[in-house]
Amino acid sequence: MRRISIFLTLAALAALAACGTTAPSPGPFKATETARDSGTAPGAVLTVMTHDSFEISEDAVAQFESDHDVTVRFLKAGDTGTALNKAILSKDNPLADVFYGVDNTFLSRALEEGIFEPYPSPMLEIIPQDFQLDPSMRALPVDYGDVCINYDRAFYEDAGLLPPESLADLPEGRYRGQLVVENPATSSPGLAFLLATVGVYGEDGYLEYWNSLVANDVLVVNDWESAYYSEFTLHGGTHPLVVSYGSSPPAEVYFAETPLDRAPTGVMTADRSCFRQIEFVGILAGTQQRQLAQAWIDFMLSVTFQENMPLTMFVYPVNPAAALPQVFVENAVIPETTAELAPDRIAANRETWIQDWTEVVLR
Amino acid sequence: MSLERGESHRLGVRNRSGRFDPGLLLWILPLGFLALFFFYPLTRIFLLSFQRSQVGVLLPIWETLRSSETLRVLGFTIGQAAISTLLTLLIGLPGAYLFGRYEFRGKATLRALSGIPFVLPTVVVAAAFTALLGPRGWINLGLIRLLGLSGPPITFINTLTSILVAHVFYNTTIVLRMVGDFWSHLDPDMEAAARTLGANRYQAWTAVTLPLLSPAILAAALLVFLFDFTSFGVILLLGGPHFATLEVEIYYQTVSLFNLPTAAVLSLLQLACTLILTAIYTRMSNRLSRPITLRRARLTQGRLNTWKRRLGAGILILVLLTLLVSPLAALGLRSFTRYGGAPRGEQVTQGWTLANYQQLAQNPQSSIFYAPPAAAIRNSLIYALTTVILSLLIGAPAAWALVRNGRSRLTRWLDPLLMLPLGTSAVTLGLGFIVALDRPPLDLRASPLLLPVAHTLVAFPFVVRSLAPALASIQPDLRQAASVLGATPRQVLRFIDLPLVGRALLVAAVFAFTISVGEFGATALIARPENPTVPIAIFRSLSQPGAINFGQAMALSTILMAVTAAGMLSIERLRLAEVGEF
Amino acid sequence: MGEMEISRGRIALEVERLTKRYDEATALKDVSFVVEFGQIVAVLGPSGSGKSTLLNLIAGLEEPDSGSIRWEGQDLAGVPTHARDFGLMFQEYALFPHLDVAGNVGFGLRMHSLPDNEQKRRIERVLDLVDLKGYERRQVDTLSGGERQRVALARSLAPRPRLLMLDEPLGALDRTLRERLLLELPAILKEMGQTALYVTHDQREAFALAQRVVLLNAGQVEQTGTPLEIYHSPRTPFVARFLGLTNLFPARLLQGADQVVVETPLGIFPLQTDARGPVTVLLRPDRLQLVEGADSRLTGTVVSRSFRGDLILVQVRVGEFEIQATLDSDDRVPPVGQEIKFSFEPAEALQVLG
Repeated sequence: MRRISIFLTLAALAALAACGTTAPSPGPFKATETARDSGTAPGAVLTVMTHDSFEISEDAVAQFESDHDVTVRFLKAGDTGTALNKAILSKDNPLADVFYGVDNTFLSRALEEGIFEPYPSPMLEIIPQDFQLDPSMRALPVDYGDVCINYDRAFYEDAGLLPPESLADLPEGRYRGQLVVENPATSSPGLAFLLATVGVYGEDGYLEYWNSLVANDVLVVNDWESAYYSEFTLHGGTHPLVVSYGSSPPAEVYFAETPLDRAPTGVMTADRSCFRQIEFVGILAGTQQRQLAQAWIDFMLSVTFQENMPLTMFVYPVNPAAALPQVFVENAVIPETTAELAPDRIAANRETWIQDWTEVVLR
Repeated sequence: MSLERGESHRLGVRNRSGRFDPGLLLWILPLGFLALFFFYPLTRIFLLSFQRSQVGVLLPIWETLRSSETLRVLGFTIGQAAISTLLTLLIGLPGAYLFGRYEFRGKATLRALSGIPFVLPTVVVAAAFTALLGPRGWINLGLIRLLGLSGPPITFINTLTSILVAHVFYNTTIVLRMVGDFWSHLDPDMEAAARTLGANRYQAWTAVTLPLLSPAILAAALLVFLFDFTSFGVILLLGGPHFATLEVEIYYQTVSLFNLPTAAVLSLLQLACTLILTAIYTRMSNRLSRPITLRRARLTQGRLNTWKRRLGAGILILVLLTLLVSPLAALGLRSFTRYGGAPRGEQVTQGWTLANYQQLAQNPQSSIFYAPPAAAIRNSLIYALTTVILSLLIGAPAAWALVRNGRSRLTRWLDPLLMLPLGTSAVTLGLGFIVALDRPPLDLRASPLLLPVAHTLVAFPFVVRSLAPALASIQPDLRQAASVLGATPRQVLRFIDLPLVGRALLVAAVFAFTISVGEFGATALIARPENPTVPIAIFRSLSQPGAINFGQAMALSTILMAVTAAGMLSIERLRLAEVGEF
Repeated sequence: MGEMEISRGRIALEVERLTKRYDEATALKDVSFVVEFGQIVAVLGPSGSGKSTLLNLIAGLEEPDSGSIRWEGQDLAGVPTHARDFGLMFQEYALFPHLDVAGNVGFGLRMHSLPDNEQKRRIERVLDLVDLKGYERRQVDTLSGGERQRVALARSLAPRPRLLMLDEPLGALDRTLRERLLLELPAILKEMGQTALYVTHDQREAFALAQRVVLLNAGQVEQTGTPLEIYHSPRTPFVARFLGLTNLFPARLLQGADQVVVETPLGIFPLQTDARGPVTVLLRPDRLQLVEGADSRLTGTVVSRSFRGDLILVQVRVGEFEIQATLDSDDRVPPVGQEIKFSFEPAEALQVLG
């Protein structure tokens, strides 16, 4: 019996630790209490709903919080598609004030479901028109990144082979069995790459192109992690070509175990070989914190946040005034032209394209 | 007289004098919990899904069910789950015999090791298998060097084999624990009696041991099957794009296409399969369960004292180590290895390093979501303990109610319902929480409390299935004897039931703990990033390119393994009064 | 039955120098004895003396380290349990909970692939024998303790084993039931002409049932013999104590002038024996006679008296020792605290133990 009481004491201690208010860093359940006392300022809370890959530096958040006398609370709601679905399903009683992270492949879904309120931010004036895909100004562009083929420099140098320059090179015999791509049905870069081929070869030609990739032994995996960390030669795999991001090389330098002079990977950019993903933010319809939400969006478009993004999320700022960090300047590759597809076209054809692709590549 | 007793059992709801049976009150907590956090959210999301259909309710159902694609996916889902379950039993039953019948050094450690896979995120397991069996994994590289081959001889990743092996890897512990534990309480005289009555070893096994073990085997097989049936990560990451289960298809329909009506039909199909399977299970288990006299484990356990036994045990342990521990060891080794950056040589490892661990203490991007490993471990443990308490609190009354009311019609109906959470699509349930728990006092959509609640939904069937066989096997006359001796119902619980089921209670606690630490279904919920658990920290590291990120994920996974093993060992060390001896 | 009668007197089971060790501990050492056809032999000993190990070895559930077990001269080493044709009735019966009474009783018949109607006939007959007629379809968990015991007996008898081993079969029963079965069990075994090995820690059971008794202590045979032999001439202090004979004294045997005398704390008595030196002497409590007068050999003080119907148990303090005496119930035993005097015939009352 004594042992039972020890167990119960342990359990009680754990519960105490969970709810304890004196603990220097709050346990997981502490957050509910701060969430509940959301109400009128001061001590107002702004809730930002986003996807799992969202990152931001402590300083940036602290600055916004002190400037606006507000606590910012983040909710990570899964991958991009899942997070958006949750925002849509909760639109009658929104979970947050702001939603960040819908990209151009999902933009139509967000706009059709009407989850955003329009906000013509003054910041939009300095942001290039190319990024502003929503004329109603409900979804505002924040950042962009290019899904491109990365190659393992050392592999090609050792093999005495030139890396491929564009999509057109990939079906060639010398690149046989070297490419790993992600399944567009389950992976966001996988879908982006499929869209790049649709953009370049058109709806009539892309399947034929994929047929030639299949003939050249393309490997398909379901997710970026498997492709990059298991199949890519750089991390111990057997494929020197992988569908990843244009910003992966600076990340490799930034996160190298031993300092590197140059990025171990290169990016294939010629002839619209990349697909540009643009990420948007919007004010969730029905927010009680409209003013703060606007301030947050302005903040996201400001130089402070925009300069913060590259090293936290490895994406590029849409604000041209934001300076890129040195490691990006040296190693990042921003293609001059990318494959373009309008969001509504993507939305209308996504299912068909994926299904047809599946028939050709996986069956 | 005995017939009358049987009748009152069967009626269940009312006892002999026609009054309300207070035992039914046991159902309040479990059913209330399920109603609130399971049936209500599911109903809401299904209703909403069908409302969104532009072509009515029946057409999407008809279209989905008659599609050859659906049938193909359903066939594959059931097929791979059945094969995986059989393989798991094939490996697990001899292991359960070893654990149940023999006492040997290192048993507790081996037991704990076998439970670790259960908590590892699929991403990490996939990485472990890649490090071991991938094209440039240790085994392939070793074989290339040894045999002078030009390419990797073993293809493992993206094959059906990898799915099956991973399922066995994950779920063998269920069989080891549930069956092994039951076995350790089974009177060895039963088998000896059969042998002296002229049964050879095989006959004694099929005519006596197997029927006596069957309730535990069935329960374990059901749980394993349901896990394999709703498999998602393993299929996606190890099986690759050529394989899809219902769960994968539901994810695709929901997330990629936002085709909620179709997703709902598939979800319902999955639920229907679970319900049918569980109903079959309940029928069989009711037929097979008999009150038996349990023995103290130390009285049933022999020593490995002949060379034949030692050899057999040695081979078995070797198989278990190879299957269950070698991927873990690969993971551990990988976390201490400097990797990559190598030119195109075969040599991909660059020596040993502690850098991956040192990096964990750093936050180069000064990200607001950075958590020191200690904080992540603490968060994981707090969630896990909460889940343990919550699931025992809800599971124990349910198990008791199931057993108490024996074979009443009510029980026959309720029992399968208890298992449903295991067969439910995590994606669907996650959306259900969003649409259902959105009004005070139940606005839990973004609450951290939802995490232990979700874990409890998964852990709860385990608690019930671990406890019910043990409770059912208590001879009713023991309780009656205690009552006659003047024991109050509480004393009966304390002195009769608790000591007898204590071991099962610990098993249940271990399952709840591991399920929570392993973050089952958590990705379907809304996370509060300021308090990440270890698996969430692993995902965060893995989502960005760079050697350090991958190394950190490996280091965190190794830490997760260590924390899990420590947690399981300390739960098992807990001696609940005299229970421990059992 | 007939053939059993004929073969009586022939040796059935022969156990020779059987030894079994578990890790460091020796469970059995050099155990030898024989069982004749139709005989009931009791293996008697306290718990932990190796009785269950002996049964497991004979049943073939475990293998001996050395020594042999033979049936009709044939060595059983390597013969698996199920092929030995020996029955074993377990202490706590080990009834199969997933089978009904008929399923339990018929289990051995099923294993021997007897035809269904023959099985049915045998089950009926053996249930009749143990007085459980009509119990075929009962579930074993609905039976009382005594009924379970009978089912277990019926189950082990049904396949007509060459040898039936019973492991403390009455241990789990209450007293009245035990007394009754103590009478019924030998009758049933006798009716079947069953050769049996009966393991118990209760000497009363052993003496009541068995034709021969093998007394085990710490894995070794202390003494073998008929119940009468063992009771009347226990060979060692252990046997004496185990039989409840507690009047044991350290003594020395001395060569007197014309005969051997034994020097005990109670006095020096003449004795016929070949033994010499320091020994233990047993004073049999049933050989003490109450006397009043000077010709007593022993004088002590009554410590307690306990009336047992046919006799009176008296505890007497003699010097620093306490001895026990069993007296006729019509003897006039002095009250507690009073002086009491005994006489005895040394040749009958004193036994020298090894």
